[in-house]
Parts: sequence; structure tokens; C-alpha cells
Amino acid sequence: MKDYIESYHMFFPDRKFRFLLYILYPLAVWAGLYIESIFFDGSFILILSAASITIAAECLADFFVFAGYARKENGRNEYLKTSTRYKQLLKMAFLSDAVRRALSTLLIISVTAAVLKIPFKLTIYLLISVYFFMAVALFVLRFFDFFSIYSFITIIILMLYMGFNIFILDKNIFAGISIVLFVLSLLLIILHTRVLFKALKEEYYD
Amino acid sequence: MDTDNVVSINNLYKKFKSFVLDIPSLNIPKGFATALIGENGAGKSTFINILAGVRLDYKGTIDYFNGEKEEKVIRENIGYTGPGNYFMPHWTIEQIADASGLLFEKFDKDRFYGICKLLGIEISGIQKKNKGFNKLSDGMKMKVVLANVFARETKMLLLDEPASPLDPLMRDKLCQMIREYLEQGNGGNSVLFSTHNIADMENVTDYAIIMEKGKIAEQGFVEDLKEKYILVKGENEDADKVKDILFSIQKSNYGFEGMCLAEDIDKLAGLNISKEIPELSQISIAVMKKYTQLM
Repeated sequence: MKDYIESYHMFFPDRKFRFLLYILYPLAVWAGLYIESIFFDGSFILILSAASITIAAECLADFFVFAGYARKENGRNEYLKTSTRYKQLLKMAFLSDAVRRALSTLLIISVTAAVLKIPFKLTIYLLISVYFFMAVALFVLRFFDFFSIYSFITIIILMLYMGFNIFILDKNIFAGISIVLFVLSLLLIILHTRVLFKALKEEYYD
Repeated sequence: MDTDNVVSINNLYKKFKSFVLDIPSLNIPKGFATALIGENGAGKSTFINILAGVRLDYKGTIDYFNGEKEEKVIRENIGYTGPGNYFMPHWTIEQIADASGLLFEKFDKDRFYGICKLLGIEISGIQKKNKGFNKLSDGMKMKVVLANVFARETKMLLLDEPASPLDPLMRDKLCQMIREYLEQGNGGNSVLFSTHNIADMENVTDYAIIMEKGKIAEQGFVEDLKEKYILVKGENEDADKVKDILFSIQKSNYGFEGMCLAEDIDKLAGLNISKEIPELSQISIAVMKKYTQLM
């Protein structure tokens, strides 16, 4: 467990980032929602805002950790490449990130849903859909290492997410779609890991 | 000199666009400091990257530490430093120490901080501690890289241009560190470093490999090379008589200076010339000129 966390932290830009990611980010989401609740009345809008902010924050935070890792780049991390533990540490870091994202999403969405008294099935749908859209976004984002591209793709993903929600909630099929999205999320994580390790392997070759 | 080898290479071949690295056979002696010398683009960095395992796209065989086959043992025993994107750019000194502890079994964090202090790298104070590697000067970056590699327990160091960003005082310190590393190993530790600063690094060089255009142009123990080549100086009026005998020649208003193979020195009998033992830098330049046809 300690190795997983330390491996993950190895890719953080600095120690302050831990505070931002673990403490400030959830608090900022809730603070934002509180301010929003002053102007907008309606728990549904607020929970969808929480979901959208979570996706956006996770996508943008990823820029500082794993930007460009899905793309082959020969000259990167030469020091890491000399160690036989590099692949293992990177794998542990990716897994830690996936778990941390799941826990952050769970914390933010479930606490917000509890406060707003959102029905359980809808909460589950939001949890899974947020995680799925994050997984899709990161699958694409990690091919790039420009913040502007990260921001642009994040906006596109948010628009797609909102459109998807309108469609699913309108059809009232969120219970069934939750299972589908859960399975797809798992498959996407496996596929993503493969893509990342293919890029890593290619870094040793011209 | 009959010695063991820390690395034995057979038919090493790598092609990259128009560049070809082609080394049919090469042994790097165990227990010595070997200098890898050559002009820019000669293939020194590519060669060191291959030895360090940073590049795997080559043909041929490389035998490390007398036939050690296990990759983990080989990599644990090799300390590599390189220019460019060596560490992750945002890493602070603390992060480098933490990461090295995770990446290598025999990394000594206290030793790392000790060497940092010795090399004048300021590690105390919040600002210094939080300063990213990419924000350091080139010289300071190299010092951190060296502190990191010397803080590991290894059997071979592969140092790609370690002296280039360092000031003369620090180059001298580097030579001292290399010498101490070799002494600590009791003949079991070896160092291969590439350099353009041949004169500065000569006092620590036991063996030299001169590369040109991806090939080994010359190699040998420095003492042997100094016996193989003789520095010849004479008047310009004799220059035409010796130019076909000398390995390389350079003319100036004061006369000519050239490198002669010891086996050819008798051919210069009767001429008014002076003979000197050349420095490694002079031998290297002569060999490089010969191969690049720069006269």
C-alpha cells in the first residue's frame, strides 16, 4: 500500500499538489456548490454541477501528473528508464490514480447527494457516469501535454456528459445504463493501461 | 595489459536515419576509468544509452559483469547519468531522493544528502527544498545527478558528458570522486564517461576509446597509447618530407607539429625534429582529424 502511494506521489509536481488534490479540491467543490446554492434553487442542478466540476477538476489535475504518458517520447524520464522497477512503479501509480479518483468521486458525489437528498439509484448512476466520463476523458487527454488542449478536450467532454445526462434521465433508464457504464469503465481502464504500457515500451525504441 | 572486462560487446549495430553505430568488438576493462572521446555526433551518447539500457533497439550482444544474465542485477549495478531530460523536470531534491529510494535497492538517502552538501548544493530552507530540477542551472543539475549516482552502490558508472556543465574546480572534484569510487571497489568498480574536456579529465583516465562516425577509431590504455604515438615538431621546410609519414600534421608560422606512430618514427631519421610524449588530448585530436579528414 505504501509503495503504491509513494509511486503515485513520484509523479506529482510537488508536495503542495498532495494538499491540493486530497484536501483542497473536495473542499473547493463543496464551497462552490454552497455559493451556487445561494443563486440557484434545486438539488438536481447542484448535484449535476458537482458531477461536472468533479470531471473537470480531475481532468485538469491529471495534466500535472500524467500528461503525455500515452504517447511515445524517447527522451523522457531517462533516469526512470534505467531502473527495472520503473514499469512496476508506473503501474502502481496508474492504479493508485484510478483508485484515488474513484474514492474522490465517491466522497464528493455521495456526500453532496446525501446533503441534497438525491435518490439512491440516481446517486449510483451519477457516481458511475462521472467515473466513466473521466475514464474516457483521460484516455484521450493523456496523448497530449499542452494545457490548452487538456482544457479544450475537458470542455468537450463536459458538453457530452451534459447531453448524455439529458438523454438518459429523460428516458429514465439510468439504472440499466449504470451497469453498462460500470463494465465499460473497467474495460476502459484495462485498455488504457495497455495503451500506456505500449507507449512506455516504445520509449526504449526509436 | 591483461585485464578482466566489465563489459564485452560483440557486433553491436544500430541504425538511426543516416547514422550507423557499428562496433564489431569492444571490451571495457574492469576496475578502470575509461574515457569515451569523439566529436559531436560520433555516437557516444547512443552508445552509453545502449549500455545503460535506455535504448534497446540495437543488434548484437552485450555481456555485463562476466556473463551476468539477470536484468535486475545488471541494472542495479549500473549507475547512469545523462544530459537532457534525466530526472522529471519538476522533481525537487527531496523528490529525487524519494524516487531513487523506490527505483533502486541500494540507494542511500543520507549519502545522497551528504554528497549534495559536499558539492555545494543547498538543500536546506523551504525555497531550496522546493526548487524544481528544471529551475536549477546546468552545473547545479549535473551536481545533483552526480550526487544521486554516487549515492548508489554500483559496480559500473556510465557518465555521459559529466564534465561539460561543471566549472574547473568541480571537474577536479569529479575526477577525485571517480578515483575514490574506483578505489572503494578494490578493482571491482569501473567507470565509463564520455567527454569533450579531455585535458581536464586526463588525470583520471586509465583507458581511452576514441569514436568517430559510429565506429571505434582507437582504443587502449593511456600509457600504451602514449607509447604508440609520438608527438613530432619540426621546421616548416621539412613538413613536406614528413607529411606522408605522420599520422596527422598541423602547420603554423613557427613550424609543423604532428603525430607519428612509434613504428614509423625511424622513417624520420636524419630530419631536424623534436620528439615528445603526447597528451591524451593530442592523441585524440590527431585520431579524430585523421578520421574526419580535417587537417
